[in-house]
Amino acid sequence: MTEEKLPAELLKEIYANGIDGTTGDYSLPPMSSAALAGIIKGESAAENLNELQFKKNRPVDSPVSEAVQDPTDLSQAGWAVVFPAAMDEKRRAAIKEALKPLLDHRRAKAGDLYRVFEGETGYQPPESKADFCKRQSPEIKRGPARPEQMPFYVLLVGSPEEIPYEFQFQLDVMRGVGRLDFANDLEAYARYAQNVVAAESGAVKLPRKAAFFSVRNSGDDATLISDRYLARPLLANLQQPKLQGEIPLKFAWDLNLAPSGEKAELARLLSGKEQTPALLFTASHGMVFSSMEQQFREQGALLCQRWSRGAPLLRDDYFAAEDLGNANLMGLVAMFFACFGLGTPRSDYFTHPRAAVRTPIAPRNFTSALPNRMLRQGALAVIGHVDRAWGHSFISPGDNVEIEAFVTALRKLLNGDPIGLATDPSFNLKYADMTTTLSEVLQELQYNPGYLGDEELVRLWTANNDTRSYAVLGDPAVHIPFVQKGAAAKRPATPAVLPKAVADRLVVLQAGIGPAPDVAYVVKGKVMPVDDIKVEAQHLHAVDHDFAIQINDITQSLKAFGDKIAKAVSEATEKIMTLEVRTYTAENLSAITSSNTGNAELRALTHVDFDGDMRVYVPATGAEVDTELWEIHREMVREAQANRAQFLGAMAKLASDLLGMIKIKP
Amino acid sequence: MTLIQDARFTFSGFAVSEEPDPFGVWEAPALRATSHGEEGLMWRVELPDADSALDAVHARADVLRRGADDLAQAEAELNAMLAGVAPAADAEHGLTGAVSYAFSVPAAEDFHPQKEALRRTLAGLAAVEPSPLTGAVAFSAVETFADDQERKGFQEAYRRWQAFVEQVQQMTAQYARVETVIAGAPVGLTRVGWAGDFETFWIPGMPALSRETHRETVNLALASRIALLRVVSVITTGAAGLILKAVALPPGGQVLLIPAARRFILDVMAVLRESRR
Amino acid sequence: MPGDNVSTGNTKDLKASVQKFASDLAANVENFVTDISELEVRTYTIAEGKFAAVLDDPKKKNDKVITGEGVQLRAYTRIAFDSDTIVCLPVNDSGQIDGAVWDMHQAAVNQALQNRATMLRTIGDAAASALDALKKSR
Repeated sequence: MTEEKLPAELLKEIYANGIDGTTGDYSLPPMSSAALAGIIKGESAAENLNELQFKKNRPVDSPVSEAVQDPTDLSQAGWAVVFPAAMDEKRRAAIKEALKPLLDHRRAKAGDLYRVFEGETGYQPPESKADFCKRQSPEIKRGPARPEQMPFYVLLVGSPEEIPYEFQFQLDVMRGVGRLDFANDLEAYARYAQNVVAAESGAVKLPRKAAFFSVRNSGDDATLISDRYLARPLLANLQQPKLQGEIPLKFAWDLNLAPSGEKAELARLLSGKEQTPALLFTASHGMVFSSMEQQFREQGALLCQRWSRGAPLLRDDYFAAEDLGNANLMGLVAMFFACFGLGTPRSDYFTHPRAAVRTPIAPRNFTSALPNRMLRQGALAVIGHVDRAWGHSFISPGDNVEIEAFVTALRKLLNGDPIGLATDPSFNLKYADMTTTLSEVLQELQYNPGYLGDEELVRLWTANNDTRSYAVLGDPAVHIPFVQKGAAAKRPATPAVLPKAVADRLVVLQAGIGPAPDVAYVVKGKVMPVDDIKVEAQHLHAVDHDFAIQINDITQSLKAFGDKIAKAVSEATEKIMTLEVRTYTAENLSAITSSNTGNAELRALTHVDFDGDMRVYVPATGAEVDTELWEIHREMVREAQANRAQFLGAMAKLASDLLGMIKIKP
Repeated sequence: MTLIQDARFTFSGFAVSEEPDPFGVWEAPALRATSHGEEGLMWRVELPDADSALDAVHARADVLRRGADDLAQAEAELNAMLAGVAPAADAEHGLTGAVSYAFSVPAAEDFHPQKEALRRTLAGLAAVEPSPLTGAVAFSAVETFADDQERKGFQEAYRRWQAFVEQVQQMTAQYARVETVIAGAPVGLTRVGWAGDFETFWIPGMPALSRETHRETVNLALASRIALLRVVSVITTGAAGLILKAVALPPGGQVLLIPAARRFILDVMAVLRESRR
Repeated sequence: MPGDNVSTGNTKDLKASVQKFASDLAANVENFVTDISELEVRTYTIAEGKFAAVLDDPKKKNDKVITGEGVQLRAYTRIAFDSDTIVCLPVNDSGQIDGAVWDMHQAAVNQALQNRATMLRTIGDAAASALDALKKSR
């Protein structure tokens, strides 16, 4: 039973919120605090540490310069769109034309503070945020956004291959950043633009309803944590409009927890009918796949309540893009707490820092299909996680819930703030705070290993990892178009259609740029579970006997290898507990064999236990100590210790890989 | 006492495969007697003179470090290839339809002889089709390989894999001795237990530089041993990745992917090493 | 026989072998992780002429701490996890601190501290791999 554990128990193993759709198990196995702490201590500092430190140390929590009195006003805060510099001119022109209603709308609001970065001024990989800004104007420095130099709200148009996630995260520290990634789908851009303008022009006024969808999978600690320590406390906090220390809610909201975490319930919330709220918050596992095609289609899909730990995973257990059907989500703003909920990086952010390369987890950086499709069907923005989301970023060993970033973001959204502003003093500030604190702690640990306990260090690291990777899909200047006092609520009953002239024009433009490059795959044969494979009698005569023997021999050699390793370890388990380092002197090394020390004289001996305890034996000569000999002996002790540690690690890794190798069933 | 002109890094005392050290640090001469007149697992570094000895060892350590980078790159390339291969959908997952094998079509600049060899192996192993009548899969070498040459190539690959595993197993599970010889004279000998216990024998009065050189030799030998374990890890992980993607292999045929993975990894490492010459 | 699923029986043995290894290693690693609350370093001297005899005595082969005639504990340091430290200094016959032994002991203490930090990091890897191996073997 995992129902009523204390946080300290849960913290012993660290969970990331992702379920592998191929295995039906955690995509990243739970790891002990000590193991993770060891890895963290090897990490290097964040690239944009300076800016993060600056942000942390600012006395006020506004990301814009003090000259901007109202950062929700685009005429003061500015708005920009950034295209990849390498984007084909024709394609860019077509996308801009499709986005024209939005661009015109923003230009009207931002006035002189409206900017377009394209062509030579567009984003050039692999430049950092600092490089990009310096290229625009050397006067743009780190620090609060000066809209006259670089607007506060920045929309990136392009995939994370064209404009990397890292750039989005860095830019987001001091700005409100969002992204549109519809590839070449001009109709999607056009619809989105039309929907935003409609929402901000009064055509959409949603009832003030917010829904919280929290999944609790049986036998699964990760969702126990997110349900008990994130979703429910978050809701409880928001249900008190005026709470000391919190941003007061300006409007009365109907805030509800979905009656269950079942898929049918989520489907109702995303049906586009009257159950669809204005703001949706979900907390669940996100699906993880290894197949490229399935990743693009379903990675980050929200795993619902029916799945329980240990049970086989079925398609019906999770809510993916195609489950949206034709739902009209006009005006919806959503926030997902789930692994890969917003997107997947090409390489695993969680790779051992000493690895030569990061582990590839996807053929390219991409945004998840579900939030993308939501935007195509009327949603204005989705906030979610790139890479894994960690369940331990908001509880501490003292059972203190630390969900402040979420609380602040949602309170601001519920007050009508633009998304880019709502997430700034919450997630971005927390990220800045976490990163600088983590950096300071890691430095201190180098000199003072007892400075911070492993569990605290792990908590700090996971929170840092977690808050960095929240990102917005959609225009960062959008806000929830909810009904304010006195007005009547209205959500268009059917999805808005594009004017015929626009639709016709788009057809022409689309023909000019072609469809988006897609993943080509070939369907070849039928699925055959391994155990069902039989040999047809009629083919036996054609079998190459040598070939069959080879299969047997390879397996035997692997077995022998495994046997030898296992035997060596199990026989000498006591030996592994103590490391012995001896130093001899000998006049003649040729007399020394594997089992014989000849006439060599033992001069020094050190025993090191597995837990590091050390015993040093020196001769009591009464004369001067041979310092040179001792220096040599100490060097060899150090060598032996280093080798022991590495060898153990290599053996353990090999065991793990061997077992992975023989795990035949996928 | 035989004087040598160039530095020599050898290991001996066990059965070695044809490619005993994919990192290019150590050679394995034919079984010969050690300086102590007995056979045993021996890592031996012979250096021509004391002045250049330490530099020579450091240079070899650099070769090992670069080799480790090559291994990581080979692993990354294999993983990247695997990412382009869609696995069979597991019937347990209740997925309908069939996705069995897929390769992303490489762009011209992606062409890579090692990838092609691996791709052909995978394609060959996946070419086994279920019988339309019974659904059973025929196991036939005739259908699996394009031609006799390809089959023989595969047999050779598996033989080399076996020899390699045998070698690594001997190197890791035995007591090792590391000896440093400078200008024909042994300067230090270290016996290392498999779990890492050290016994070092010095000749009194040896210059500090010679002692330092022997310590570095020990470091290099043990690092090489660990690196070889890592090669086995990478190959088995790569093969496991291939297995997960494969469908309808002959019974036990999954293990055939190990030689394919090994060939891929070692070829990529060799190409990278060559490119630095 | 060709066509038999020859791998199944063999892989069970292999699995058992590797499982045992991973299990033993995981147990050792877990002991390590839970037993690092204190670090102790001891420096002994052994009377001249008795050094090899005592240390190579086959009867003492499995003793964690080697004792016997001529073996004297000269310096001792214990560092608790909260960094509280106890130090026993070596003094010679005239009651003065034996500088040579003390220098050797201090060097050993520093080395032990560094080693523990390294082991913590690397044992973390080993633990993760061993646990991973065990999970895969289920």
